[in-house]
Amino acid sequence: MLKNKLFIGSFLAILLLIVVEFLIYNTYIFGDKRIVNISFIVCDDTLTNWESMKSGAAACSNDYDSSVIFLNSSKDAGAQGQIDLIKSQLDAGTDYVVVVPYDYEEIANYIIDNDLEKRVVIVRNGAKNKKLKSVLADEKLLGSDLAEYIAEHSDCKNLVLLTHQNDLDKEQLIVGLDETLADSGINLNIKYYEDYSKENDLIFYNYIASGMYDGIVTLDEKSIDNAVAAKDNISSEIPIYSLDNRPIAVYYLEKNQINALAFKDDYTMGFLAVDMLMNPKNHTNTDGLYYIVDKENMYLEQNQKVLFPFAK
Amino acid sequence: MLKNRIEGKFSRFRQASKRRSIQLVISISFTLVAIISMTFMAFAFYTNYVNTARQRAIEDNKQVIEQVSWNLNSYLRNMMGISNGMYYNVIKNMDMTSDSMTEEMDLLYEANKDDLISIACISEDGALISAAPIATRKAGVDFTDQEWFVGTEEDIENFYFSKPHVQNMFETSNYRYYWVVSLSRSIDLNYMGYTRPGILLVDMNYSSIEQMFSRVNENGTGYVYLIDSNGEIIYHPKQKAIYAGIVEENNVQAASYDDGDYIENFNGDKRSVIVKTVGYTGWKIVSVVPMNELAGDYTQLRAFMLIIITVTIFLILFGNIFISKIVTDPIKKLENSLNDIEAGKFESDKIYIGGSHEIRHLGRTIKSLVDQMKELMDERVKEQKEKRKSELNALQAQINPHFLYNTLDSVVWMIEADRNQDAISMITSLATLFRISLSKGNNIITIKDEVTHAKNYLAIQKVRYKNKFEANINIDPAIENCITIKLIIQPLIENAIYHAVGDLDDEGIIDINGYERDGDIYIEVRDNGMGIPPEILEGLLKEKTESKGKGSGIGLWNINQRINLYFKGDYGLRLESELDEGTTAIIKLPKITYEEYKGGDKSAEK
Repeated sequence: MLKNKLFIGSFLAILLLIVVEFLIYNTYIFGDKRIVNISFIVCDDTLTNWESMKSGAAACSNDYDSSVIFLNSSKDAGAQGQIDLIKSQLDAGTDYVVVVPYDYEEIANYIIDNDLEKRVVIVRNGAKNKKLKSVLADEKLLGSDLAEYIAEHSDCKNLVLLTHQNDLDKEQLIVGLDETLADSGINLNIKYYEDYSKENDLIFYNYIASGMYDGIVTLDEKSIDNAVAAKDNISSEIPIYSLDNRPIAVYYLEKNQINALAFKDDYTMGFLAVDMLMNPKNHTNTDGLYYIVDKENMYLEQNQKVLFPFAK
Repeated sequence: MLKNRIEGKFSRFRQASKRRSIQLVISISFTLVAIISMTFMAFAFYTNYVNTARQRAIEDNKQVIEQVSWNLNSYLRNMMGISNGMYYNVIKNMDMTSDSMTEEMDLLYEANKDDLISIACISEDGALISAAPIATRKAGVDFTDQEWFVGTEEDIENFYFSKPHVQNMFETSNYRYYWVVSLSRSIDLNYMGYTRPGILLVDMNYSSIEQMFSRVNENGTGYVYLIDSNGEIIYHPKQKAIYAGIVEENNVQAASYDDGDYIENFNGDKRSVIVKTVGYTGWKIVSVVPMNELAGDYTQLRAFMLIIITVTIFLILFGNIFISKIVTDPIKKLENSLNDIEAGKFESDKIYIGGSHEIRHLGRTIKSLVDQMKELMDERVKEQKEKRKSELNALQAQINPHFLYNTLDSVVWMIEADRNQDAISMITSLATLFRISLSKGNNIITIKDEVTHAKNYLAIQKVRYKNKFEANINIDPAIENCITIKLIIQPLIENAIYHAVGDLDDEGIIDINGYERDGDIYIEVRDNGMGIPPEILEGLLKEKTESKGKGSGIGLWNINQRINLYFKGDYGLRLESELDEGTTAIIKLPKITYEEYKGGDKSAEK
């Protein structure tokens, strides 16, 4: 009787072992590797200007079992358009969303209010916030470095900066710029506007024509375009210093329409955003996520590689 | 402390291991041997398989690299063909002062515009002679400062391939900037028979090279990159990340490798590296596959082998238990038979004979040995019985002459004293006594007969001693039919008379009591003589003790020895004595009735 029990017990033990090992084998071998889906959301009418960030995100994504897609919401839709897109992506099953905020404060509030801190990362535009995951250049240092460049390469003493009054993600940059310029004895006149209007299109004409200021600083696309247009039309030599990542800004630089261009390293930020999500243990070093170039050095080997995306 | 505990555990293990069964030894040994062999084989198989598969993967990568190299060579040959065609077919045949190369250049460009960004002919002082597509030269750009220009002038004999760079020569209307690899060569320009040096520049579309490598990198494991002879990266899937310093590559080291495959350690990662040099350019295509990615494909094999090994180990274990049981069961049964023999059960019929030939032979041999042993033991027992019987008879034989001597001595004394009637009475009693003592040759008689014998003896001695003592016989009737060895009471009475009451001035008393207690029979002969000193009493039951004074001195040891011989155990004679009080001789016998004795109850003779 005892022998029978032993035999049956042994048989059942082997059977159980085989079943368990088969299950492990099956899961381990045939189980699909789960692909982590990451959606990048930018506020732009096209994705043309985002090739660098796409390249960086894709390069990092290749190292992991992840898939990256880039989505754009129209500029007219503003922050709400981005929020709608974040929501729809998360609802559709996307694991993580990386957003380049149109309006940092609104996007940040949405993330915090909806407890999405673990699933949504802010990249490129914004202010450092301990509650949020972000890959941002040091805006204050960027402003400070741009100010040092202006002080070093120009004789300007009275600059004007036109910016949106609620553009909070530029706040630290302006602080860095203002403080460092002041240290160099340069006055920065900061002009805020509420909504960009037709009047704003002409404002740089007035600034240049009036001779009130001996230099212009622009931090957004509309400002740089208008400032360059005004400078061309008046045939002024007034120096313009800009923050912009668009290829046209490089063109402006090459054409001497602007004197220096500060730009953020979109490729590296895209790369680090994916790396942060896929390998949270990696320390994300956000030093040097921006560059300041002028016409003299824009074709230097090291600047070419970051300033010009590999066009296909 | 710990050492002691370890030693203790080791000692217990050694003790336990000494008690291990043959089945356990066989099971464990076979299982261990099987597992070790299987593990070794599995390891050898796995290692061989993995090495072969890795080698195959490396060979596959080599083929990929060969393909990429072929494509790149083909592309570069095409570009060089454009340059050669432009130079040898067009420029060499024209006079630069009167002819234009624009049309031919445009044709070449249009035919290859997917792979080209521009073709340009530049004079030695950096002036643009012609270009396709037609474009405006950028203001302020000095061609002579550009890398390709400097590189071509340094090596006028060969083609010069620049590093990838953004073309900085012509105005673009769409704000687009092109990454190019410049293929330049030194050319001779004919100016009305005068030759002046110039440079023919073919700006290859970097995108073509990038796409060529991107397609390879989209598939398979690892990645492929391209470096120049100095290790400068021309293409890398993470080129910008490397420039930004967030990714590192071992490109400088790779530049020193000759064509072939290598295993290198880079940043703690072991990687398989294959290098292939591209003709004309000195560029090197480098394939990198991390070793863990090469091994990644073997996860399935490892899991499968693990399952097979585990299941096989269990099967071997249970199989060994089963087989060892078959092998050892006959041995165990034989061992049980030996245990029975050890316990005294010499039953050769029950000795196990079965199992394999060897075990059956062993069983038969043991059975034969047991039979022989049993035979020898029976003979030994028989011999012992004979010996006992002889000894008893010898002892018995000592008693009769002893008694006869004493009685005849008394009869002689009576006749000398003219006490003829007493002598007749004594001889009559003697005759009765001998009749009893003969007992048909039996040494075993009933207590009743033994007491009668004692009474006759007392009758004789009373005559002899003129009734100087009184004898009281009190035997429990319940024990009268029990057996005793004959002539054991009479010698005690004789001792009591000779050594105790015979010489007393006062009347001597001899009490003879027989009773049963705790299943045994006790017969006491008590006198009221002077008693025996302890030192003498101690030696009375020892062999060869000689009695001092009267008597032969052989009686007490003889009685005790005869009872011991016959009944064994703690049956025999015991003496108690107190000076001036008297001596008591106590016989202890087993309670066996004469019928039981006669009925052949073997237990009676213990």
